[in-house]
Amino acid sequence: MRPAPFALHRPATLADALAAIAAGALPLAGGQSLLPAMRLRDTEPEALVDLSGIDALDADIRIVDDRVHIGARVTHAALAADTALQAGLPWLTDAAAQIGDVQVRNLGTVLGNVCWADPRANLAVALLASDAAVIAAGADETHSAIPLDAFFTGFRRHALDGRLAVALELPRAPGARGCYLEFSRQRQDLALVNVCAVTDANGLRIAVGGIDPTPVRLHAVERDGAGALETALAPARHRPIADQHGDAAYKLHLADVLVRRALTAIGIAA
Amino acid sequence: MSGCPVCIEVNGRAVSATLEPRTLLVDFLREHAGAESVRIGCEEGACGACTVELDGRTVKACLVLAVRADGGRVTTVEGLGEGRALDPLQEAFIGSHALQCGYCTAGMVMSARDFLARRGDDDFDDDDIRQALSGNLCRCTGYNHIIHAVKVAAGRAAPYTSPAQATPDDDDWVGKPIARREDRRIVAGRGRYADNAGSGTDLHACAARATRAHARIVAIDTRRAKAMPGVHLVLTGAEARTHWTPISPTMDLLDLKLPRRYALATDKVVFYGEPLALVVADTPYQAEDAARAVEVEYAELPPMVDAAEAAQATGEALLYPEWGSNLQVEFALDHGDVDGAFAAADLVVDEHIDSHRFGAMPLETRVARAAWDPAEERLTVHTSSQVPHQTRLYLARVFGIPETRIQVIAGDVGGAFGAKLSVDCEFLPVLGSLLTGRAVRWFEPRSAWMHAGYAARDYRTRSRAAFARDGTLLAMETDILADMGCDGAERACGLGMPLNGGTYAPGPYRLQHYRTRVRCVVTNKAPYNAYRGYGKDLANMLMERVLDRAADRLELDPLAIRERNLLTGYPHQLVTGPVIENGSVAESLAELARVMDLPRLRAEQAAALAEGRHLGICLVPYIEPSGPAFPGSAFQNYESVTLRIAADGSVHVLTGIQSIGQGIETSYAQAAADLLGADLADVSVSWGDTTATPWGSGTFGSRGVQFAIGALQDAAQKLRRRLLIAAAVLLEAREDDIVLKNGRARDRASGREVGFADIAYGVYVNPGAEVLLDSADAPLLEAHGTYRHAAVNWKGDAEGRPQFYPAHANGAEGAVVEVDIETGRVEVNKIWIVADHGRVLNPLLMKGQIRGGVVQQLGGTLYEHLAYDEHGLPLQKTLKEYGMPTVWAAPEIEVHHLETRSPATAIGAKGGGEDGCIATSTVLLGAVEDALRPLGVTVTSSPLSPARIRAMVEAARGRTA
Repeated sequence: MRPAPFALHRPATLADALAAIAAGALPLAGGQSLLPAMRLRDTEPEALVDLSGIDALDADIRIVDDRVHIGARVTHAALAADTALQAGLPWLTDAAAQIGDVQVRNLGTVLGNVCWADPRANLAVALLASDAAVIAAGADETHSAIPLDAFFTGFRRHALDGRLAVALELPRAPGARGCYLEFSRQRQDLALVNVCAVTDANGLRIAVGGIDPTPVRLHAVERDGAGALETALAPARHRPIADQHGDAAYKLHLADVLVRRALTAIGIAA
Repeated sequence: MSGCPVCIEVNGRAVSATLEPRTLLVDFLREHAGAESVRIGCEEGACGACTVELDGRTVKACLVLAVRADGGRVTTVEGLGEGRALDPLQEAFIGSHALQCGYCTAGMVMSARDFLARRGDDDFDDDDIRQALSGNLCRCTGYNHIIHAVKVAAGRAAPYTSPAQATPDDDDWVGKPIARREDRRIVAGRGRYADNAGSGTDLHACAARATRAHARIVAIDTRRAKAMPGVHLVLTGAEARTHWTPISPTMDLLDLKLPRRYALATDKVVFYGEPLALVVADTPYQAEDAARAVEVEYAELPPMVDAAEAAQATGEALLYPEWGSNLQVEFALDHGDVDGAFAAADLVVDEHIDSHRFGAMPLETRVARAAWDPAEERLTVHTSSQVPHQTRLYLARVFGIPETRIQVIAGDVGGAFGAKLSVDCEFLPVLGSLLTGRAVRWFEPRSAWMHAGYAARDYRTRSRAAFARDGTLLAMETDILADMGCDGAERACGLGMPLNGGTYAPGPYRLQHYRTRVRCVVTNKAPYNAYRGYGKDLANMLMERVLDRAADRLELDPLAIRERNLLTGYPHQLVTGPVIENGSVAESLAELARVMDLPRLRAEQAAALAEGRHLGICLVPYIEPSGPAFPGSAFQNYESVTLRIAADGSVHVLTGIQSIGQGIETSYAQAAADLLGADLADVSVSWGDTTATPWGSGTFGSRGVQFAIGALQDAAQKLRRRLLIAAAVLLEAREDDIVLKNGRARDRASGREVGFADIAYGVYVNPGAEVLLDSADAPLLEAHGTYRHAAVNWKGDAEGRPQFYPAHANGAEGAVVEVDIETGRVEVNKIWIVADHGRVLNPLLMKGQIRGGVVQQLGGTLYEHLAYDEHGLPLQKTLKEYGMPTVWAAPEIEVHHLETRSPATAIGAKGGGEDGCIATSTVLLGAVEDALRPLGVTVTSSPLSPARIRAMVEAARGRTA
């Protein structure tokens, strides 16, 4: 099938984009998640706002003073190929390299993947474990940082509330170690469950996708270690996506296996 | 909404159009830029058939809005190569037999090209290639040959083909791995698929579909749809009734029941996705908009989702109340003294073996373009079909149009595998064209196929078998319950699969006491259609799993129990009737064990287990009945070929067999060249046009190498005789002294020669047929050959047992798998096949068929699933949700051949299109069970999905805890 009709705004400025969003238009970045949903007519937005012509949105990956900036137009392919990130935050480039396929990574954007807010989105999980924040521009063009811990509000829902995500920022803590793992039926398929564990001077962060409507942190395990996994993954605490590929118990079991494997990979007893 | 001006440079040419914002780049490229290599196989960006280069990056053209590519540069496969010369990568695809149906090829080439360009001279391995191609699905090849082609293009491997050069007198074209002729047009992006027919003035059809599995239609309101922009026609099933008759049944054999449904539901719907109303509009976008605006009021009926429940159902739970039950057919056989043999047994095994629902899933969905010419009263239909002649027959019956006024053209078919043997939705654009007087195109969206397309497998069985202590199989009893969905015979023809399963379960074993019951039950799911393997997979599964279980219980080696029971001589008649004419079943199994180096694998398995890794090994033999001829169907024991030598000596083969990617343009040319003594370069093969070719039953059941080659042999014998007569006159020689070879007639006595071109010109012009063919049976170089297989027997033998399959190839398949018991993931490390198809026409094409079949059935066993919820609503609408195997799913597949020639034709080939689909599920279930044997797991059902494997491991632990 093909998308239902929609109006397309193609603004050159943030202000015009924000005005269109305020009027109900949906931002279109790489389109690699949105267009399939529109083709299947799972979603029929009345208007889209094309972000590709806005000069204020950059395609830069910059590391300045141990802060990483990822611009709104950075694609998965660009992130995966960034040598500085490969050296400093390899779990991020691993996560990006496992998204979809070459064609999708060539167009899909990192920020789009985060804003799609699917709980199994590779970068949503990897960036949540990396203590990242979305930089959002509001109607008056003020910029605010929304930590990913507060960004995901439901299944494919986020806290932008009319603002436009313009960049991601995250710390690059010296000596950080991290591991991104996903389990999908076939390699590079949509993950059933994915996990990212990162440890640095600020401690351990573990993010899991596929066991709740949003990606979640396992704070108890971060604090108390793998011994807390069973409690942290107790069925009553989560609402996994149960589908024909596995029930809730199986998804939680996968999370347990993957977290242990990720912890082992970064040298933490599991 | 319209009005975005767009200008995109496509293959160096600027193309402008004014487009709606929603227009996808793929539609712009196909409809405005003439880039017809860019294909649509899905809606979610999974298949990659639309892969193009946009501004230096590969993208999926179906996931790009055309307006966003404005000012950009697009390269498609049509833009590769210099002039008429192909790019080396395209040549590598041909030389590696890296394409079959070719539907994926253009996109695959674009991705491979991007990979090679980015890699430059860097080192790479197979996994790097897989990484690069994981966004491109191929349903035919099993990916092995595509990976090889990339290596060939990079100069790291040699192509598989040998050059097609003239052969000496004692050599043949048959048996040589000659590159396919069809490939040159396909790799260049000029495949003749049905969706390439048509013009910019065509209208587009879309079906409004049921959103209930089982419900009465209370009312349909089409007013809103009719008022939408661009809409020409909206017609409900009730309104359409006066324009056609119910669907012409594909099968009408035995005492099976037919639903007698129309192509648009009239009073009730029996599956989710069933077409309810036809919409015809100016663009496919508008047709889809309007189809969604058709409003339907339903009165719910009880949905039948479970075949066992459906079999017992009554009242409103009957899909077709006039049947009195939900049984479409029940079939039973009872031979020998089954009860007596069970009473005398040392061991009785009792196994329940089930398969989930999956199916053919060709990359090209169903497609038809119908053009009714009201002035000429002629109907031309381009469609993707395995059976163009039957399609014409069905169209004539349903619309009451004389067959002589209908032309059906099926060009290149983008995958079929049994799923394009019947006609249901294809009637819709024809109706649209008849009512509008315009050409109407219909291209089935992938989600529509996923909901309303064809399924297969989906059986539940119980097998009991009696054994003596030494492993001798004494008797067997099978009970098969198969889920037909809404129908397995009328709008589809899968009903024969479980019947085959029951009939062929004795397999290649000496079994004299056997009983079977087969029940085909209708439920509220999409129809059940033929799928590669056609129940021979089920037969193999039942017997081989029972033998494995008996071997376990008797503590016998799995190979030993098979050797004890395998047939020892040929011909061998199964107790159910089929006669296996000859073969090499025992030898195939022994050869398989040898090439797999079983002792080494067992040692590796033990070493892995010591490290906590679970490897599993399984080997099974199989038989491959081929060339079916079913009474009460259009699948007849007949085929014909027209063979013509033109005045320039070129040879034309016209066949009713349909090309669906199996390479008949090449392999039949090889056979024709040998049978006629022609030069291969002078032979061409045409198919797929009902007006140009003689009647043929089309392509199914691996029948071509018997039936088409048999007909070719008949025609060639007639022409050889006339060539000899004419050559004898020209050479002033005795006919007996003349040898026909490589397009020349040579007089052995004098050594003088004359070419086919001179003979043919002599017949057609000077001195003319009156001189050269005066003593011949007919004064022309054109002959019709027919073939009827002598081994088909519908009347039955003395015991009343018919024979539907006249030929039996055989082989053995083995697998090594590794199971991650923590996650439940099964990795298939390697597959081996030893196959015997008699004399193989083209061994490279044969290997391609086998490897492709293996990965199809592997995908079905591990990943693919057509699942439904308790309301009969399908749980998947995309290829990813369904689980189409990607390049990551394809293991190395090693293929070996034995050769027991068929006695049926001069060439001696047996059908070989289904090998990989027959035993792959069996060996995977067996190998996974072998891997999990230390845990006490038995594997009796599919899918072997990670969640299910995990559940099996947990259950076994629960038992031992």
